[in-house]
Amino acid sequence: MRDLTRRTLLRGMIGGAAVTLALPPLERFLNTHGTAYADTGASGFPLRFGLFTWGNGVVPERWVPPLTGSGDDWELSDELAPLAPHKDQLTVISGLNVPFSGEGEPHFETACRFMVGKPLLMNGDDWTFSGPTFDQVYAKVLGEGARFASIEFGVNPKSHVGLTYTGPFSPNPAEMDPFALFERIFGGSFSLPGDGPQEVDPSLGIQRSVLDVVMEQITSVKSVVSAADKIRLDQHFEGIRSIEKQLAALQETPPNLAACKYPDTPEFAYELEEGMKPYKTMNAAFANIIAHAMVCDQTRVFTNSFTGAVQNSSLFPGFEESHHSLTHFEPDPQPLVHECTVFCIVALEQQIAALAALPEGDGSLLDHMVMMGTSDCAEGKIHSGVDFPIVLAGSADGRLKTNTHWRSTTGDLATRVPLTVGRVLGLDLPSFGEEEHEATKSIDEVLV
Amino acid sequence: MGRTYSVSRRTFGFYWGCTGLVLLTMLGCEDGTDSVAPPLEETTNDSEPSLEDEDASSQSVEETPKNWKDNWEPAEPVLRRLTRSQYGNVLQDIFGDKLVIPTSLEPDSRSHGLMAVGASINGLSPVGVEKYFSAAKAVSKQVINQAELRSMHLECAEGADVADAACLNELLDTYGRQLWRRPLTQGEKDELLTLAVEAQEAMTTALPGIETLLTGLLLSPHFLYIMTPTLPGEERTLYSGQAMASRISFFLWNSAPDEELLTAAEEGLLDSPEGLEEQVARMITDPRTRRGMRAFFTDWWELDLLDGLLKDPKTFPHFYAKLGMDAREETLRFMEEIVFDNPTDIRNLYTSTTTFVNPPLASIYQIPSPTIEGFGQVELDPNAERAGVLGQVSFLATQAHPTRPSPTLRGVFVREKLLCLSMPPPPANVDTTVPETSLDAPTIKEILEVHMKEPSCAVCHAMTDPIGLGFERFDGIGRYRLLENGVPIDPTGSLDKIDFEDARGLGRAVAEHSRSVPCVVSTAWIYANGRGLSSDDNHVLKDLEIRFEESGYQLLSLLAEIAVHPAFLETREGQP
Repeated sequence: MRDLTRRTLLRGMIGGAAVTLALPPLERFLNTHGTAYADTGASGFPLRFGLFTWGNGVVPERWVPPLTGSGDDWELSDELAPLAPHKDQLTVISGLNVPFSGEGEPHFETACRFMVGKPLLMNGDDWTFSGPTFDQVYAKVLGEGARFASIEFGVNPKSHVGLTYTGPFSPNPAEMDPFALFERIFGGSFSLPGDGPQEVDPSLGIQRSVLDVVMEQITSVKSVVSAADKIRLDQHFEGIRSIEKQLAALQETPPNLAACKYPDTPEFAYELEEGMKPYKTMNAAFANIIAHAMVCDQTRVFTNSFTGAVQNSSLFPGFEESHHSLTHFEPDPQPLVHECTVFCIVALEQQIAALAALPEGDGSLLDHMVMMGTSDCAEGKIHSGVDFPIVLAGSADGRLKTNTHWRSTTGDLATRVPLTVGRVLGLDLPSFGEEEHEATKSIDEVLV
Repeated sequence: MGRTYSVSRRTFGFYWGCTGLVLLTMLGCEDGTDSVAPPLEETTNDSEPSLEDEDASSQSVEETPKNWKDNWEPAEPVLRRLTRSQYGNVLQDIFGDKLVIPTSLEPDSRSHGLMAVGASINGLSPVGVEKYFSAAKAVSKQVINQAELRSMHLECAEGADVADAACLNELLDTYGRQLWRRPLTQGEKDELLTLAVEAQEAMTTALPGIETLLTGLLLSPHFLYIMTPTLPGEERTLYSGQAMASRISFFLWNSAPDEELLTAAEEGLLDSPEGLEEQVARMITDPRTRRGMRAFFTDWWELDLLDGLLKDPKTFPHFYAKLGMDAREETLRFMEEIVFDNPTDIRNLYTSTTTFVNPPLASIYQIPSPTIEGFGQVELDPNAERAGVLGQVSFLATQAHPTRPSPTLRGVFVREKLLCLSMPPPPANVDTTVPETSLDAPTIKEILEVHMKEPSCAVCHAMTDPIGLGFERFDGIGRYRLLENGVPIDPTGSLDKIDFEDARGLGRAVAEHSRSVPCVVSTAWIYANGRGLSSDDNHVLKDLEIRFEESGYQLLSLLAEIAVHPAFLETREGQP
């Protein structure tokens, strides 16, 4: 009886269009290899996506690898050198641009045009991303099968204005505390597969009933508010629905995922190092937690916002100026800016290493996903969108050509990358971006 | 501006005339002008500074209409979600100090410079919803499991494992009404009661019904959003008494209405000017207004940035982990002195030499500490350069970098926050680095002068740097210094053509700037309404400025004027 009520209610309005949602996600467990689904690769494991972002761009001359090609034909650049242990798994894409005339909020304008495919939405002096970023576009499809549609975290993201948005005025705030992230995923009613048949927590059903009532209330409030507030309440409704889905997943028997185990418990609190956050220690903890969450199929999409743009208030250890200040004050050729970029790429290496370290099937978790590293702009000094920095890791079950550097010689659109990656992950994307940012052609040169 | 103020307010009498004087008398101020501290000199600079003319957001001073109402249309209603501090205050007011308030909630972010406005614009992420869910469960569990909370709030269920229907009903009437800021309808009660019964049947834990009931109340949109229903009217749409109760209590207390205010709303007392005035006067003298103003100034002056204040300890040996917290406490106590304890002209915020320090702050200020532990009041040397909020660590350390101060950030703060003049964003695709030779320049002033020579930079830097450089004798955590790299620092400068000798003179220039008072008024109005300014708001702001002047620029008087202003009662169609 209660289930019936719930199902009739589970109709959200997403972006103005009615979407009916399949429930319950029992089918997820019908086949432990999941080969029956569109979103799984040839290996039978679900395809996943990870995004790693850092603020303030790169030093382009030291970012772009000098040679193009595959295998031994190309070598890593100075700034990509920390990724050497994973060179076999990398696809570096360069020479792509984010068209941008110079109007708007510099750091976030380029990021929004790349990640949403449209300019920022300005609202008086304020701004917001104008739509969902590509990680959220992917999560909408890939995330349906997992407990969490996507998970966002990071050591030092710009608070509440990171680079991932569900829609206008709706950033996805990053969890900044590794322990809280651990608790969110592995605490509470979570149990490992193979822990044997457990009694299902009887409160889960009651909690779901509470959510049903709240969803009805949101629906009734929605009928009397402005159009803008309706969208906000729709998002709220979606959030409740996603908890409902999480609880439903917890009520089911966990799938038999051989690699699934608890990650090491992170520190409850992290001591400052030289007066600043211990970036590397915290990032390693985050990277390890999210990798375990992926092999346990708790989520299939994540964003690690290592650092945010601007952020004059924080120093990397050993530096006397913030990364952002240096981009604007250090004379060319900006050796310290280069070192800051390398500091961020070392953290990207930590994230890739954590994914590569977990065995899954015949390979590792990294083999069954695409991991993308990028920033809010190309060159911090001038907030440019020219030669946007993009590095991919993982082949998505052999679909991406790895150990490759491909460079556009025509200064093509950077939005071709989100389009290509989306298609590699199995999304049916006719295009990505709008108007001058609209990409319709995959980058076939990096596909197998 | 001076001319506008000289027009008698009675010309503008509307609805109920002399509210301001009535309230001032209630607050113990016999006269709106004479009983206040010596007013700052009125600015004689009538000409608008040229930089302002290009500024889209600065409200040009037009001929004040005969009646603010003539050209005024109310703005669309907004749906505000509780901010994190409101969420905590409401729960504390209802359940008391013994409740551990959940703090892990969706972060607030600013629109139009205020989190109070962000609350009516920003969406809620899926994680944010999860956090509300965890918080609701955590609060319910505490009320059930903590003996003290249980005996205080769940008397009707004392000693029972399950609650009877009468007890559940009673709880809904009490806590449902307080949390939702209105009585629940029978239909709403039935729905929650059904849940409670379901829980009691399914679970073996103690009082699962009450726990479920409370979780349901706390996760409801009726709790999380400030609902402001309207009254049907022929010509105008007014907020209902229930809506006004929430509007004035979140404005003044940053929390939900108390029992008396809820009752007044239910009895229709807020529908009359006298009833509303009576409640506002009561509320303003209530200690909760201090808490409310702490929230207002935290929002306005971005004191939340002090939460994670990090500085390079090698550069600043005086920096310590709690400095941010202490600096905020100093500024808030300082604000309370000028707003509540010794109410004076609000512009003293920029000039007063009174402040409150604890030993570590005293050591940063290089003055003897008035206490061995905790905060004490001090009078700063009136001839020293440190005065007003702009001489405090809270401002000097947040508008700075980890190793050095930022004249540009400090200048932006003065212009945007204190004078409400908007700045264009920095240009993109422009090389912002400075030539190497200038890095050898001894002080930041020489380095920034490079920006002044580049036209695309100068547009903005000319608006900010001459102001910010006035604070250069305060380093990145606000300690006084005379030299930078061995060279004397020159703190002279000008603020929109008002020259100043040093930071103290700069504070005075801010206080005397023609935008200083209007900025206080418009910020308070935006904060009270939770929305950005509409073009029609200008008329209301002018009216409020006149009333504010008559009070001798006392903030409490302005709060009262806003809370009972006819424009604050009126809205457009629509809202639950």
